[in-house]
Amino acid sequence: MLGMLRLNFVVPDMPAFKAMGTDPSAILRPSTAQAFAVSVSEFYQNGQFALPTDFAMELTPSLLLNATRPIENVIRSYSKAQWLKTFRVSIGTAANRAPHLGRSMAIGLRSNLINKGDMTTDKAYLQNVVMALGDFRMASRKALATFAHQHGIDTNKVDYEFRIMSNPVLKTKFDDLLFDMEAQRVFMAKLDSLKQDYKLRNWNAQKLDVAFAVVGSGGDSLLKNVQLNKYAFWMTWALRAGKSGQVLLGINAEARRDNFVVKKQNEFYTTVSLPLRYMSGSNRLKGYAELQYQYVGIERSHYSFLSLGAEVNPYDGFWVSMYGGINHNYTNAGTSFVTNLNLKITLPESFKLF
Amino acid sequence: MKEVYFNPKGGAIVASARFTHSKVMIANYSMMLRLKDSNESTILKVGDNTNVEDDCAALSQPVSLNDGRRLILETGFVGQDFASYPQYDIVLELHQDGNILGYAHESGVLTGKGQYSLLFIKLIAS
Repeated sequence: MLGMLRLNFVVPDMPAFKAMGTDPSAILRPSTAQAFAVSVSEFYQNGQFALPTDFAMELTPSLLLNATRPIENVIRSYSKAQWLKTFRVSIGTAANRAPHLGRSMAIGLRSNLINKGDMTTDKAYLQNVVMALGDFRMASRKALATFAHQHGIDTNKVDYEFRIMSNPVLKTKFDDLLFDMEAQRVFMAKLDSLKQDYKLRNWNAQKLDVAFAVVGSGGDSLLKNVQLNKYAFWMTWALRAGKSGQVLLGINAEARRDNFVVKKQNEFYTTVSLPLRYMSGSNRLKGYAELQYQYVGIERSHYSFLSLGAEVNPYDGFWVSMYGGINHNYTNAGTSFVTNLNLKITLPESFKLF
Repeated sequence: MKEVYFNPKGGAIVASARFTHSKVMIANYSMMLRLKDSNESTILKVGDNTNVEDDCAALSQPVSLNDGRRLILETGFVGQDFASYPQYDIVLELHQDGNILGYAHESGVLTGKGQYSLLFIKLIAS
């Protein structure tokens, strides 16, 4: 979210990015909706750094559209369904693993069905802000009396405050005074500390996300003659596990064509993944272990994927996610080592969009 | 100053405050009644816009005593998401016998910092 409301919890995984199959883990990481986010991958290939070939961006229409709407409409929209407020659209593109298919393009849709990490509805947080505002209100009242003295207004006269508040010039001067006074600094410091404390306590709050994506491939770079060759669905439930832990339970089902065998190109095959991830740490630095079972219909093979990873937030709005793991094929008794580095960028908390 | 006329022989006068939704702005307020020709005030209610409680209070009785008094709504507030939802509205309203007698209103732009508002209504018996 934006402004004060925007908390840089981790940038969520994007369905359009996941659906293109660039990421071996099938879990779709849930998180709070961001107005705008970008994800890129595959910086390091064959022992060399390279320009990323796969990237995606995600937009939250409600956060962008509400920015210029009249306040009454915004209030009305807040009373509407959670899934609509957090509905997001992502678009991604990737170089295809089958060279004759050119580039892939994906469109993803996702939403939070449960989002317990919403600071704006947290009762304890709101009550603390209310108390701080009470102190600020009393300090402002005192400042108004001082301001009246400074401007030659007799505070013994009836309703002297009204003379200031109803005079546009004096009101502007007084607002400027409030903007910079010591009580304002104290209030803002308190607000910042409440916000930091909220992030610390709620990065692992309960969330339930659902997502859907469709992937098309084109025969050339202009994506002409696009053929839809994959449909994917995710559901991920994030549960708080103690003070600094979180468990993610996921399901991912995909139907995709076999693009390598020409005579089977009209057939769809199913892939089902059941990932389980345990995360531990703080909002800005977490480590995790993940175990995933996967059935790949096109190969009629059963896989397990065991990985260790980390999520780091070195700068406001910038996240690095990395993991390495062992992918084991039980059906054909093959094992491979897989690594992944993913960069996610969103608007910093301090960024003013409008 | 906004002047509102009331029936001195009518039912209790109720003052109510309305604020922009707490997801957009958080408000802490004090509703005060100031005696006629004086700055001496009594507090009718202190509250906030984050709970389900009604933000209203009944003025003292008998109702006729309120002639010439001023009702004041003092609010400290802050925008929760001032970048996306920059506007605020604060309304102080007076009711008697189920009718709205009148109101004072302030709207403006949220700055993301602490802000202060004072609304006045003068009560006149008619």
